[in-house]
Amino acid sequence: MSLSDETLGEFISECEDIIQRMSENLALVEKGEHTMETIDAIYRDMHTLKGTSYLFGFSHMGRLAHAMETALDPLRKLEKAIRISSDFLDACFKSLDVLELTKNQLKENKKDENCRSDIDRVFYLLVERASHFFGIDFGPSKDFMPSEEDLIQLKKDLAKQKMVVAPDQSLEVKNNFNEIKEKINKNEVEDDAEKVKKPLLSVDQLREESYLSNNVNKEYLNQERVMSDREEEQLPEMPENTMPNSALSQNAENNAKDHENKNNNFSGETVRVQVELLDRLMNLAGELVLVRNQVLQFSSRSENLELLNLSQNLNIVTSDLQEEVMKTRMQPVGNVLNKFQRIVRDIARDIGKKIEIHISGAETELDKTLLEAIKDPLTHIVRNSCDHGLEFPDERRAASKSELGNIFIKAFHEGGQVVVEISDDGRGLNRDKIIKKAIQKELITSQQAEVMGEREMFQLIFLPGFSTAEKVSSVSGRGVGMDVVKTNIEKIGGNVELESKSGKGTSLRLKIPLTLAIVPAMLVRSGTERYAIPQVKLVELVRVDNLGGDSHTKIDFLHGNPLYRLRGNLLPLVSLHRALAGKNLEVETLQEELQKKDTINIAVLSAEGHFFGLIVDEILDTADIVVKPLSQFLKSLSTFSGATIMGDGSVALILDVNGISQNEGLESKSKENNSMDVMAGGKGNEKVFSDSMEMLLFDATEKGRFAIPLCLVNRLEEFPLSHVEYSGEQKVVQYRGSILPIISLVEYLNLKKESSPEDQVTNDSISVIVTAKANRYFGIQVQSILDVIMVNQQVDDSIKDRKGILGNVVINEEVVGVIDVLDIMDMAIKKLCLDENHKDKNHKNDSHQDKYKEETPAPEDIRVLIAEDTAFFRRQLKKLLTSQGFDVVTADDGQEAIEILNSSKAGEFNLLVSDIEMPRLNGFELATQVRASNHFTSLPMIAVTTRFKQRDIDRGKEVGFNLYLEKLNEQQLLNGVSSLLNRKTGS
Amino acid sequence: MEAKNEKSNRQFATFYIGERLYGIDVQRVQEITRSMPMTRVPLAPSYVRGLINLRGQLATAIGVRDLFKTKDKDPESNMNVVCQVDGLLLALVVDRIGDVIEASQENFEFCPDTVSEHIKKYMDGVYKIANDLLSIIDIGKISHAIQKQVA
Repeated sequence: MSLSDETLGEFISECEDIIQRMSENLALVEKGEHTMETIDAIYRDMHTLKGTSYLFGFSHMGRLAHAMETALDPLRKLEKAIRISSDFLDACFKSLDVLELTKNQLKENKKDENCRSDIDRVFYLLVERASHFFGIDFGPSKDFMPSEEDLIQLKKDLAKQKMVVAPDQSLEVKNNFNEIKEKINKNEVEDDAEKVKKPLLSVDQLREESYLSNNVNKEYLNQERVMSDREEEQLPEMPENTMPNSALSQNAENNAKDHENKNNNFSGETVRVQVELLDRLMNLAGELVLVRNQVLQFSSRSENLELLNLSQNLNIVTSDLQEEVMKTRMQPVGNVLNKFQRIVRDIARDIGKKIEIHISGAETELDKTLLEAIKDPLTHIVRNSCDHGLEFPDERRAASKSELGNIFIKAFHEGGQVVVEISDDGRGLNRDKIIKKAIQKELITSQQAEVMGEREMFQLIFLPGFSTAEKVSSVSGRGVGMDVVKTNIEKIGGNVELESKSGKGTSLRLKIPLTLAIVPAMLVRSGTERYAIPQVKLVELVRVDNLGGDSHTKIDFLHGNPLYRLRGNLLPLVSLHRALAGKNLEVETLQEELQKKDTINIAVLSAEGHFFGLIVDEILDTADIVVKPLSQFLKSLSTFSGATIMGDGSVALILDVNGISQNEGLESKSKENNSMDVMAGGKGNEKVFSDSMEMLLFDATEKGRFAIPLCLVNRLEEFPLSHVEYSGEQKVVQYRGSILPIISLVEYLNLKKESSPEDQVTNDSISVIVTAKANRYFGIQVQSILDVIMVNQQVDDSIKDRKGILGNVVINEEVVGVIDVLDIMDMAIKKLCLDENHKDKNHKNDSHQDKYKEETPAPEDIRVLIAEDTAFFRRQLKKLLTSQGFDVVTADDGQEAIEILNSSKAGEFNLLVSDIEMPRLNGFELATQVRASNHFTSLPMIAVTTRFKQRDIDRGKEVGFNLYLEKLNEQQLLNGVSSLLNRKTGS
Repeated sequence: MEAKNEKSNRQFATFYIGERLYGIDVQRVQEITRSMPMTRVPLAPSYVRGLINLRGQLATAIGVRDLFKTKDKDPESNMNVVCQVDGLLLALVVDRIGDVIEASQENFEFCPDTVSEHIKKYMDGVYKIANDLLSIIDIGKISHAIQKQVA
């Protein structure tokens, strides 16, 4: 048959429609949510397909469609929709697959002959299963049956696939069916178990699962038998089996009418258009916008009123046009999501789990290209949920959950993005397994693993080369892991968030921009050029007033590298101007450059999970920009991710935030931080992981690299050597209106100086870490300050070769000593006799301690609860109190503390020492709760904090703290503890 | 007669860099534009003059002078020869535009060895025409070279 390509094309698109609709309808049937209309719709579609296939000469496809039609026919004649056995449904789904396969073949201009074996296979499967289900024989019509030689081939094929029938059965499948039918009718099936293995099983299953109650079955069988007696005349669809062509056209006509009636709402309202055409339309609309802009500019200079009016109209129409054209590219997420019904169903069947998928928000629209881009990641996530997330039925029963596992997919708009949330109610991520795997794959060390927080650990599954599946199943675990999901989503400007609760399930949130083409951006100026920064990368804008010397807003310089203190965290700064200058760096240093400015504009950006500040000349405006890719060869400039054409027709480059961060060498740090900051979700200031802490890394000498917990660092300063003065032998610097003693770490630690004194002299300034204790500042002089690094481990205090070293941490695979700053300050205090009162106190305290030993109960009987979120302080406190002989219990925050207290025996704890600023439940709230409880009205409580405003102190007293003390003042604390305990014991 | 002509004669869009005449196969030239406002691309090689908005499409302006490493400076006004090649939209920045010249194959010579290597690598050869020599630039070679250099 000769067909024009166009008609064939139409046929194929129609096939696609039908297949899509079928798949949705069958999914409904599977869930048991189908009505008679659903069945009708399937039937009608198959009918149409059959007709058109034959018309086009694709007889094999037509034959399969016919088989489905016939198989579904009895269902249609029932009064109401009944459930269909899973076997039968499976055959339907398989037929649908083959239909799709055939359609694809036809699309490539191949014949349906190529799919003949597939068609034959499912054809018989379908006939067989349908026969079972209805207990009737669909075989008699000659037209149903392929020729004799086909049967031989088929039988071989089937035997190979173990799909059907005992080997000694007659060649004629027809007889097979008749036999089976009789057996079913005579209820003899069980006796013949050996012979008909597979079918028998399905019948048994069918009964067990009682999709059809016996009654229905029998009733239906009777009805059917009556019908088959009067076969030819009574069944309107049957005659055409033998004479497909003549009957077909008539039938097709009927069907068409039928279709029209039912689908009145749809017909004529949609037109098929090539995506290419839409893309071209969109480009043209874009160009029109630019022309419009030029016309507007021109007309605004003109005094011709008519021209002004016309250009205003042009303006409105163009904007509307652009908006509408944009919409043509939008497609409902459901186009992708609905396919999962099928995927989940197949997987569940394959691996023997019971899974139901619930989809909501399928109508949420997304740009076509983005939809394509998220398809694979989503599929991967859903497969993962099926394979690893959800448990086997018996496992679920044991966990007292319903056997049926659920996967929920929700799509919705949120803050200008589309969120797709995939959650399951499965077992959740397995902590131990992840750790084991990560160690095995050498992604982390066992040391790191020990101190890892839970959320942080979950991030491990996003690392390349990670897959928790114990064995590679057909479903997942093929080496492409969540890392691919993450990179793919990030590639389109989205991000992935993960949450998991052991035993409760796992949930993944994909945040996807609405469209790739249009991106909200912040425009900034550097020099004379404008640049665009994608809003998703922008965390906040900071304007620093450079005139005043206020310590909180000034920019710190460490060897020419600017840092800004953003709410207590050091934010590395990058000058856009310099980043873009490349090799043509001016002589002027950044420091000099910035000093000339009155205000400094900083855009705080997030690059792959870490933050940095970009210094720009001016922050201009926000705008929705249309991203144009750069020429291939310019893409290697990682500084730019694209370009855009602005309203005035000029071109602006789009900055690649990740690229800039890498180019500026901020990346090494990001690797350290990466895993955890992903979870921080853009707000890096929150301490998410209690066991991680920030360390300031510095060199004390050429070879001695050390670290100090950042929480103890007050400021970083550089003093010109000329500012260093001596008070006696003590180096001092005038600093903020007082005298700052400079402690040399080299001397204090008795380190050998590697560098000769001459070298020292060539440095014209010294780097000083300023710390504070007891309201006094101390400067610790170091060689050079390197970096601030997130450390996820405890300080290992097994090796301390000298006094003043707290222990070691491993940073970038290098052992780094952690300085005991408190000890240094203590020493300095003693050495310098800074505070006579303090000295007195010390003496007093000594005597006090003696007294305390006499009068209070033995320290080991005293149980102290410490609530402190910062790991470092927690350990310090514990160390201090343990050294006094107390029995110490720690809690990571107020919430944990109150839980510990509530589950304790009365009088178990004798003292509570609590921080004020803590996540979940802060110190004030903790104290309030403690005092509110009957059991702890008299429990002594000490607040240890850095919040030392009078208001805070008052509030502390108010909520019930007996003492409100400054952090790091060990002596004060010990005094307080003993006085409180003494009072308690009545001495 | 006509058929013969088509075979042996080729048409070239010509332009000048300084006083030297260059030609590009007319079929590869999309359009000629006046000098247009362009956006500098920091960090790009010096011959990338910037990005041009060509009716909504981005064209990358390539300074032929920089590419050829000729020492003299661009004149104040210039023209763009826009070519679409390998999916790139390149705008060659040239001094001024010449006529479209039809050259006969019998006047073709391969590039003489004396031509500077910087230029030679972008050239197909030379046509001897009345009063002048026409150096033929292969835009494909230019696109190839810049993609290789940056990558």
